[in-house]
Amino acid sequence: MELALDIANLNVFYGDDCALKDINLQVEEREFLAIIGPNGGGKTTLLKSILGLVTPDSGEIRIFGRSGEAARRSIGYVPQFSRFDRRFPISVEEVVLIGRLAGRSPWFSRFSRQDRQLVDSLLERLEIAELKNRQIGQLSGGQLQRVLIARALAVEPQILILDEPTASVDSASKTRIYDLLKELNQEMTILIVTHDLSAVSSNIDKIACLNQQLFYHGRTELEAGLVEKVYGCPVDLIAHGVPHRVLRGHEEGSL
Amino acid sequence: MIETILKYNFLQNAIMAAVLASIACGVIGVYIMEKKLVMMSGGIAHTAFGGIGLGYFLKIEPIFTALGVSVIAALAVAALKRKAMTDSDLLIGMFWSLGMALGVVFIAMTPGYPPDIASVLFGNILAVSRSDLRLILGLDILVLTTVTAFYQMFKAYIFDEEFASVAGVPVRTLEYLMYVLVAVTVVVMIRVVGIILVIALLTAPPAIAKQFTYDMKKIMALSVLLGIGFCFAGLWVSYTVRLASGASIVMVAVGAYALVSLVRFGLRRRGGTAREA
Repeated sequence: MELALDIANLNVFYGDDCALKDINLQVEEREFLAIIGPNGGGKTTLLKSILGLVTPDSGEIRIFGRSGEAARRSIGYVPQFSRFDRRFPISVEEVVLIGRLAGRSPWFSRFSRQDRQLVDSLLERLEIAELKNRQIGQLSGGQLQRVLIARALAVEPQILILDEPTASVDSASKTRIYDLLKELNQEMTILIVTHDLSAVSSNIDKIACLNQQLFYHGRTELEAGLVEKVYGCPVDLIAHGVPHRVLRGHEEGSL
Repeated sequence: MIETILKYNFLQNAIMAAVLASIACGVIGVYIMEKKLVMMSGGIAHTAFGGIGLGYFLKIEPIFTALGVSVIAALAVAALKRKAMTDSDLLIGMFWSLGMALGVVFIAMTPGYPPDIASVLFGNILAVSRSDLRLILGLDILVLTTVTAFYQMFKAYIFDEEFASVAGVPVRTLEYLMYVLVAVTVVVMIRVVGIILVIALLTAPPAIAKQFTYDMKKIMALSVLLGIGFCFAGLWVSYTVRLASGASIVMVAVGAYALVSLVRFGLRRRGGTAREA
């Protein structure tokens, strides 16, 4: 089967600083992968490399076998909502319609009735239809997060990439977002990047820990020793959801 | 006053210039506000002075050289910002002064009687000629056509450059285009308020308009109307009190912003206490 995401020997330097070192990562279609790691560990750089916003010094990134701009057509990107200017004069519908610009000729782009219908159905699906005409400053964090997910889905992506999807939302919204992602995972590959270890729930198939290098796990069971290695200190992991624990029980007497 | 307007050509030209300049100014002002390009616009405006000087030196109509130089400066800042990874802030600072310095040097090197620099720096809407009006009209059409053609793309780019880029929106081209539009708009405004005073007229109308609506098209339309209103009011002030026209227009614009903000602030506080009571 074709890989959804295939990263081979990726290296990224900022000047003399090595941000990413020899990253290799394979994600299969309809997998749900979480990349975790400390701040400054290169998560954002890896994300930007995949999105084509950072040019790697060496290595290759393929998305469904394609590279470069053609590859990005199949990505739905959900950035952190906290970095948005909430006073920007734009409505919920207008934000989601931006997703329909993907692959358009830049001249005189107008949205068709099909575009608007698709947007309506996405808003409906994400339970934000009644917010359609609101300016984005009048939304809660969780609502804006769902608007941004709707915009990413408007691209009709094969792979959904989310940057810290649960940062600064309340725990109820967090649960809703994960339920939603789990549902979307039936149709598409999902990759999330987060430093929030509590986000690592039982929905997730695989976890990769990133701190300059990538430590990859084929299953949702982090080994305490490895997390310590990545984070440089012992970390509390919360096992929520249920089917299996995220972390093995800490040994008696260990920190 | 109406009688005087009908009698004098230069007053009719001034009114035409106020209307036409406010169109480009109101529309691009909204982009400048949202993309936070105020310093950038100031820098471009001041490099235009280099162009004015060059025009005098080469005996070409200065407004054309100003257009050329400020467009080149805008493209240079955009290109250097990408390449050098320098803060565009620093680059703008240098372009800002360099433009003025070149202007001074060119004018000093020009033989003969020195030109009227004050009207370039502070504007003189009463000195607008027919050919100036034609140029302003042409630039207006250029600005409006470009904005209409790329309206959705510009909105996507200003709102979220990263997402737009991933979605295949040509963000780099749009950035260059936007800088050029700023340069063109600045040149349009030189006759009206001059190089130094242009910033107030680019920022005050959109800043006021944004207090009343969150619809970008409406903000643009309202900015245009406000710009026209400020120019007329400023002209009237300048006519009755015999003050420089550019300075009067700017004082009216900033005064209106202060007034609107104060009134809204007062209303909000009153509303707040009313709700608490």
